[in-house]
Amino acid sequence: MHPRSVDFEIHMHVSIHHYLVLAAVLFCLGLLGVIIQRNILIMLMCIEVLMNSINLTFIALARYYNQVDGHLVAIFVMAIAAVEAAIGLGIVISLFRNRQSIDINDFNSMRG
Amino acid sequence: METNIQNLLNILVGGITIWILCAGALLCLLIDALWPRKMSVPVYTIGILTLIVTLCSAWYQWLQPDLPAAQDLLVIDLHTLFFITLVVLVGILTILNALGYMQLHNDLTAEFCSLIIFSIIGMVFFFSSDHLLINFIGLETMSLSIYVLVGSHKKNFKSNEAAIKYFIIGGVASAIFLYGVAMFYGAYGTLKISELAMALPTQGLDYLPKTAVAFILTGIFFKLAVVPFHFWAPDVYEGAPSPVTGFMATGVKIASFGFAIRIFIGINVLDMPQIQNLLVVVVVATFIVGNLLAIVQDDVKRMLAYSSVSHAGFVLFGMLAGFREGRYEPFSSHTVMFYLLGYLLMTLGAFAILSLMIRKRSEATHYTDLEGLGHSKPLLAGLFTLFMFSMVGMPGTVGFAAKYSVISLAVQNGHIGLAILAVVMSIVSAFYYLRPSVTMFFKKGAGGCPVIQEIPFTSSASITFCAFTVIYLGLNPDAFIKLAKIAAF
Repeated sequence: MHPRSVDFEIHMHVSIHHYLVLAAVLFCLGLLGVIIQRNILIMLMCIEVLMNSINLTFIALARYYNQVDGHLVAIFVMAIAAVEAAIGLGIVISLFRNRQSIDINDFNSMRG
Repeated sequence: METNIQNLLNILVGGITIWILCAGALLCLLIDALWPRKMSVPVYTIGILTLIVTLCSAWYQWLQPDLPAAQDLLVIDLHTLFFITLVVLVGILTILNALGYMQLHNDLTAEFCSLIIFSIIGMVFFFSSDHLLINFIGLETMSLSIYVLVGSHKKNFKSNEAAIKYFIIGGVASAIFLYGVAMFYGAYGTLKISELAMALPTQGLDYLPKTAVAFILTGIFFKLAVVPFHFWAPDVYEGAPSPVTGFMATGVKIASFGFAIRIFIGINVLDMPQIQNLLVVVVVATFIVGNLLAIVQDDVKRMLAYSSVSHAGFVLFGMLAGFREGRYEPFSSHTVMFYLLGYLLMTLGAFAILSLMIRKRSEATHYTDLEGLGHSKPLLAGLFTLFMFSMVGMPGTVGFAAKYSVISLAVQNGHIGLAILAVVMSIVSAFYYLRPSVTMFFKKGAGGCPVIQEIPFTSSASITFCAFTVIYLGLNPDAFIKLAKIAAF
């Protein structure tokens, strides 16, 4: 084995915790994005970030447990996220046709 | 080879209700795709027939002495069959309402029917599966269909706005739910509820499964629209087409409660004191906020949105009432199931009448639109009043029987304070439930044309069914409470 790769193994070992913490941070960022962003397209992207952070969690855990379940969940969740994106964009298009805007602040016609 | 075929046959026979639903939904979609814009009425007929056949097969399975052997991922037990009956009933009534609504609005689209059935398939998977991944797929199938249904008035700005609001909130709720599932997977390395139940210790849960429970509960609370997570409900309920609002207010809540009962009794985490405290806080907040905000609304659909919030609180209170000295008795979930049955009948009846209100080619559900309706359509106004009475909990209607069973259970198990709050809030609710009726009967219309002019046959069928069952179940609830008791865990 090349000495540098051994070096890499020792000093930069990436454990499951790194993946889980990264996923948790991504999840929080996605949640924060949905809350503070005003542009609907970016909000949709943040929902994708949420879904993908969970995928990362599942894949890391599946590797940790040496099971195939987590990988399967990730594949299913990707399919669901794709459907969600399609439907979300469809709704945004019909909104844009009616209002020529994708700013969430413009959509407050209902009050009470 | 022999066992393989036997196995396949078991799956085919055991899940027959779901296969019928899938076949019906695909058939509707196919007919609509082959003959676009021509075959709406046959498509709706096929949709209703599918749901009726599903109902019959669910009852047939119910009456079998031995239920199909427990399959791996799909659990067909009496609990599942009871909830299948409820959601299919919701589907039939919604399609009948939608047919009337679309005839009045003059846009009969056939996709509506298949979307409703797909959503019901999602609900069935949501509460009948033993595997959290399948539960999640069911949840998403249900929600994704409903996002489209909410936005199905493409030209109407309110409908679009409701769809995007529901989509974003629902997407976040699903993600939070899924993160809870991931935490369960991380803690125990399995996603099957039955295996989780064996892996979980009976006492002293670790922080990770506790967080998982909290995340899953948050996801469910979003779908139920109970108080900290109710803010989307009025806007979405107002913007969605009336039949869809009725579908959301009943179907989604029924499916979520079915799932909540299955998972939380299945993995037995309800005995944690934190969960009980959480439920008490949520129930009290839901009662107070839901009922008080309903008073100040001036649109019937918004009022019914807050009313559905407070009803969700009542159903949660039914869960809470099952705690005796800190332990949950799974059997007492029958009050919740009976309450859901009564709630679906009176809510869908009310929404069937709301679906008929149309003025200048758009929905008219403001209180001022109701003026004079008691004189032009006295029977319809009377039936609307009946449904409102039932929601208040007047004796003789199903609302009374449902509320009575919840409150009596709570008193038996010593939750006196909450029971008193529930009764007081029911009295408060009389104020806003009777306001539409007072407007209908005692205010003269401004002289314009009445808001309801023609009543399509399908709508009158669903209104008649709901009114009949509301009274019948109110006078004679015992048989159905017994059914719920059999189906309870």
